[in-house]
Amino acid sequence: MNSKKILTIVLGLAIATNLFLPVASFAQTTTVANRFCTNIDKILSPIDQRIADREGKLQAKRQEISDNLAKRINERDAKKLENRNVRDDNRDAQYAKLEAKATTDAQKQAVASFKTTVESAVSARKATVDSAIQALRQSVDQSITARKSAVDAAINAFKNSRTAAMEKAKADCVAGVDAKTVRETYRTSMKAAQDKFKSDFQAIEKLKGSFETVRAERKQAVEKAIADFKVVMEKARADLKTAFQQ
Amino acid sequence: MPGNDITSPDFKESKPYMNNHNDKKKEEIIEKVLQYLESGKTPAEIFGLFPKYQEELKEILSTYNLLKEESKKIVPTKESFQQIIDKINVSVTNELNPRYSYMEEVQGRPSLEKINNITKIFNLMNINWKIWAPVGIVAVVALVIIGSSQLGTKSPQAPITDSGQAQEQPIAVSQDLPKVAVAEPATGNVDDAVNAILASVSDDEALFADAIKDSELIAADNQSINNFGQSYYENEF
Repeated sequence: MNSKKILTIVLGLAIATNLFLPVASFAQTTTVANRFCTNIDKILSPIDQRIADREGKLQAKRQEISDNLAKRINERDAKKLENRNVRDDNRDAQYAKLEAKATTDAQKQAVASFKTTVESAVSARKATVDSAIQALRQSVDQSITARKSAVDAAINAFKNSRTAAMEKAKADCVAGVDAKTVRETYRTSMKAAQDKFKSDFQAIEKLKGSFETVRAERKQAVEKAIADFKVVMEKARADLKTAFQQ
Repeated sequence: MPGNDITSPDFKESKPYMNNHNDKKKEEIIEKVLQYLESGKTPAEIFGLFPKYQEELKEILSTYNLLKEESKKIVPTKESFQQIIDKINVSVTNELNPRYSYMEEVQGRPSLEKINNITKIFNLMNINWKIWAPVGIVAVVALVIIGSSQLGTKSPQAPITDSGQAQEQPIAVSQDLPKVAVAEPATGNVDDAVNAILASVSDDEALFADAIKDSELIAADNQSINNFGQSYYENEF
C-alpha cells in the first residue's frame, strides 16, 4: 500500500468522523437537558441580564423623549414670545400712524374704534391658540404618562411571570421532576408571558387615539378663531376706510 | 538500455534487422532535432549529438530551412486574402477589416519551453499535495478532538449579546418654528395697517402645527418596548 492510499484512508476517516459528530451531539441532548437542573441559575441568568439591559434602555429612551419634548416646548414658547412682542409693537406703530393721519373727530373716533376692535380680536385669537396648544401639550403629557404606566404594568407582569416560571423550575428540580419536563414547562411559561406582553403592548398602542380626539377638537377651534379674526379684520378695514374715505 | 538511446552512435547497429522499428526511431530523432532547433541549438551542435545520422540530418535540415523560408512567402497578400473572404458566401461578422493577423511568427505546436513550464507546475502541485495533505489531516483531527472535548463539558447557552435586539434610532421629530416676525413699516395707510396685523396669523398657525407634532413623541419608545418583549428567546435552550 503506497503512501497516497494511506493518506487518502486517513483523510476519509477524519471527514467521516466530522460528518457523524453532529449526530453524536444530538445523542447528548438528554445530557444537556439533565444539566438544566444542575446549572439552572447559570442557564437562566442571561435572560435576567437581557431584561435588565433592555429595561434600562427603555428608561433612557423615555428620558430622551422627555428632554426632547421639553426642548421643543421651550423653543416654541421663546419664539412665540419673541414674535408676539414684535407684532404688538408693530400694531402700536400702525395705530400711532393712523391716529396721526386722523384729522377729524370722526376719523379719530374711527381709529380708536379700530384699535379696540383689533386688540379684542387679537386677544381672542391668541387665547384660542394658546388654549389649544396647552390642551395639546396636556394631552401629549397624559398620553405619555398613561403609556408609561401601562407599559410598566406589562413589563412587571412579564417579569413576575418570569420569576414565577423560574421559581417553579427550581422547585420542580428539587422535587426530582425530570429535567427535560422542567425545562419544557419553563419554556412554555415564558412563551406565554412573552405573548401576553405582546398583546398588552398592542392594546397600549391604541391609547394614542385619545390624543387624536383632542387634536381634532383643537384644530377646529384654532381654524375657527383664525377665520373669525380675519372676518373682524376685514370689517375693521372697511369701517376705517369709510372714515378716511379711501 | 544504451541501444534505445537515440543519441547513441551504435543505435542503428543495435537493431539492424528491424526496419519498421528503425523508421520509428528515425522519426523520433527528427522530432528531437526539431525540438533542439526550436530551443535555439545550432545545427552544428545537433549534428554532434547524432554523428551517425549527420548526412541525413543535413539533408533534412536543409529541406526544413527551405520550407520554413518558403512558408513565409506563402502568406497571402492582404488584397488576395480579402478576395478569398469576399467569395465566401457565409457572413460571419460585420467587421470591415480582414480577420487575418499578420504575425511575425506562425504559431505551431507548443514549444518545449511551454511544456517544461507545465511540467514544473505539475511537479509543484505534486509537492504541495504531499505537504498539505498531512497538514489538512492534522487540522481535521484537531478539530474533532476539540469538538468532542467541548461537547462533553459545555452546555449550549443563548448568546448574551443583544443580537436579537433591533437597532434603536434617535428621536427625530421636526419642528417648524414660525419665522422671525418682520415689523411692517407703518405708513398710515389703512390697507398697510390691516395687512401688517393679519400677518401675525401665520405665527399662530405655525405654533399650533408644531404643537401637534409633539404627539409623535408619544410612541417614540416603540422600538425599546418591542426590544424588551424580545428579551426571551424561544429556542434558547
